[in-house]
Amino acid sequence: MIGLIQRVLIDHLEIHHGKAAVESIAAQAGVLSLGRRIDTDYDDADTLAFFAAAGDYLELDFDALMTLYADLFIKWTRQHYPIFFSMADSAQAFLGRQPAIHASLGAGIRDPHLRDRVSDKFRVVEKSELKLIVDYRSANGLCTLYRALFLRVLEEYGQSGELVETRCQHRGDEACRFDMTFAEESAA
Amino acid sequence: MSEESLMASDEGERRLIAQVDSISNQLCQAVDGNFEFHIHTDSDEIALQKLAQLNNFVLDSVRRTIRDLKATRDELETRVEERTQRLNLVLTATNDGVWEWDIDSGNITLSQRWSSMLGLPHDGQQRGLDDWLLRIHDDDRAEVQRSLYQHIDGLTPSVNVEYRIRDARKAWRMVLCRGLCQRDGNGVAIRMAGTQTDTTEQRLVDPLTQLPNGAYLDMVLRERLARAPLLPMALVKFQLLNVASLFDGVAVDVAVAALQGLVQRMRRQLPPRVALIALPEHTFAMIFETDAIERLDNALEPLEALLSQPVEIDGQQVWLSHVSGVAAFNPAEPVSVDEWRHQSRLALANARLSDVGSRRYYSEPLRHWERQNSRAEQLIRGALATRGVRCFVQPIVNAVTGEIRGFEALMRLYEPSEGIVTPSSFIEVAERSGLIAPLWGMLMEQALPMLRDDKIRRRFGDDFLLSVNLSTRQLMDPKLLDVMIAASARHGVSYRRLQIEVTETSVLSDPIKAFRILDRIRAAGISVALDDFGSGYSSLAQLTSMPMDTVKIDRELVMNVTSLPRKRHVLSAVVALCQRLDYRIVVEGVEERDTLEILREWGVTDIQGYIYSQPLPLDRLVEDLAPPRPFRPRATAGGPYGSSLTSPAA
Ligand code: HEM
Repeated sequence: MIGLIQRVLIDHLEIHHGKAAVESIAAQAGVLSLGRRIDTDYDDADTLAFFAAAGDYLELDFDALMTLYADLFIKWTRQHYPIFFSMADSAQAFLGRQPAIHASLGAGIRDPHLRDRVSDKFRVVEKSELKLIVDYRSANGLCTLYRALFLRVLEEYGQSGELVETRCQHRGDEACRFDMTFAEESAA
Repeated sequence: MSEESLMASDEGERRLIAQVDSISNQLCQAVDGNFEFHIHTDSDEIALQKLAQLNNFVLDSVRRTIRDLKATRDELETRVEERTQRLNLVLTATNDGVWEWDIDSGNITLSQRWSSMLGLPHDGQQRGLDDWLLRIHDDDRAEVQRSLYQHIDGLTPSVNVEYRIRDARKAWRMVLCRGLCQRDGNGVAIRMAGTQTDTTEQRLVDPLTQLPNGAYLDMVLRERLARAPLLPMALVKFQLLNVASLFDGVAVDVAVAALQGLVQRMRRQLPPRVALIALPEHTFAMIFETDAIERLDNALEPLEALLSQPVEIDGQQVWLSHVSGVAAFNPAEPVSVDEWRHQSRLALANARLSDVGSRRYYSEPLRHWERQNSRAEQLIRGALATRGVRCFVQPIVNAVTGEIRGFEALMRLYEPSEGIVTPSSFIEVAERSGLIAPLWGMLMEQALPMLRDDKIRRRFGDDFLLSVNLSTRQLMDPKLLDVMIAASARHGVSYRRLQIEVTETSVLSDPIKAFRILDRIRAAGISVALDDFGSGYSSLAQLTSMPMDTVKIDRELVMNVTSLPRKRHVLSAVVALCQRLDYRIVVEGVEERDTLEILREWGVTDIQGYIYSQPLPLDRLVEDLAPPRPFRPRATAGGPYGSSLTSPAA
């Protein structure tokens, strides 16, 4: 996985729990060299193990960790990729562009196979004013993260909406499908 | 800020600048339009990593776009290629070449097929319109130009013109050109495009036999004579003489099928490379790559052997007779195509005069013969111009009573330096040239008045027939009956006193038509006699079915019957057959009393020959022809052999 994902968590842990904590979590996760370059692809297994160990360290279950992470992630990305946010005037516009953002970040990967792996993870199936359907296909099975990010994005835009995961890889489907609807009036 | 921290921030800034510079430098690789590279940075700065990352995104997008464009272009190209191939296929199948004329620039673009049709190299280059027009036959060029411009001017809905065009081998091909203008909104012609179809084959095939035709022969001859080096060759003309008998009483399509079958069998008797070419009048041409007579004989033998077998048609057997003429081509003394064809024509014409089945080789003496022919033609034309036609008559006598049954009108020409010329030296040319008709007209003008000539009537009565010869051409002329009736009326005589004499050869040249005409003539009351029976090849089968009244037995059958028993048997059989078939018989060429004795024994009455009179000038008839005396058998007459049967002229 691209280093951006763990970097957000590492930065948080470093600031709030210290370098030593990060090192022990990494050791706990069995990750030998912890990478945090946002333009470099690291082993998925290392990333997932680091997240699990961080959850243990923070004493958070996976859902809670993802909710925390979503908040950190949106803050971090808003700081570093502000244009992606200002380009979208609504949650659905932002979420609708999310697969393209992933593909553009994935495009930075040197190996064309890995590049495609990132770009192929998300696909917009249907898009209209108040509705968005996105397919997510990845061995990492991070639909929990997606759902958390969805809610966080709604919050970011001060909107309300709903996500139904009509298909899920954890339920044996080939891909996860997020069926999202957005309320007409802004919740704010 | 401390000195140290200043230095440190200086150091940091320099590193940052170096890292930005490194990214810029890497981007320089794009200068050649090559985007297959990757931006890399060692920096820990997120901003720089972002910069690298997003540059990579842009590069990837460029690569992706180029790839997509290329894919689209490839697909378009494949589609264009496919369509072109399909179009080419269609055009090849229709034998069409494509041309396009850009009217402003005057440039012509010609397709590969257009060029290959003419055997020209296809360089894909544009040419001027003149390049095309100059290839067109001089006689056709103006017409092509006219149809192009008429269409540009909007006078015609399309271009559609056929013309001859010279191919790479300098041979002419026949092509059909079709084209259409593309016009702008104001109807102004921008360009014209169209197809060119090779119609040579259509023009070169004989529709009846499906063989190559005379135009093809002409082309091949020209090709062969354009070769270097020239090789010995021979042009053979082979003519089937009585193809019409295939059509005798048979449905036309059946006869045509039989003829086509025969032609195919004929083709197979020839070496594969020797084309059998169909010419008019059931004549075929072949070109052999040898001028050795022996080899030509060998090569033609199978063909002649084939024709010695009958053709089966509708369960009947028909024998076709043939003649052939050969003109050898000697590379040491080359001749033109026209001369070569002429030589073969002469050889064939000469062969036609001989027995069926004969083959003549062209040689210098044939030239002489031809010159004679042309002299004969001069003679005829002279006679026509100076009213030099003379009517001679020879009586046909009833030997029993001595009565004149009729006179055969015979044509002679008067030539100031040669005097009276007999038909043998001009009749063939007259028939071939068609001059026979005006000659015959003049003869009739002299002969018809004899039927109401007082002196003649007083001497020979009002019942004798005037017997006139008809050539094939005249016989087949549908107006013949009308002409005879009109001529008789003009002279105030009854056409019922006319008898026509036709030969077997004439009738057999197209029996169905001849029979139809003869039926009409007889129905009108004019008698029909078959002339020269027994002189050439005679068909007893025809004898039984022919619409006629009289058979005139040729002197050939009569000569020497007194001394040759075998000939006597033949003659007696013919006479008996004619009697059995109820035909009147006239025996020609009777010169001796002994012959007459025999003929009388067989019951023959009507005699024509020197025994009564040689042909006499019409104006001397009454003076020179003594009234014949009735024949008395020797026992009764007791006269010696050879006694004259005419009394001394009154
Ligand atoms: C500016 C906004 C965002 C940026 C820059 C960003 C960037 C990334 C990057 C770099 C990865 C790692 C990809 C890989 O290596 O495969 C990733 C993964 C992921 N992102 Fe985002 N993301 C953004 C917004 C979002 C949002 C809005 C959502 C969901 C609503 C989302 C859901 C995910 C998920 C589920 C993964 C895990 C994919 C996997 O490996 O299975 N992201 N993101």
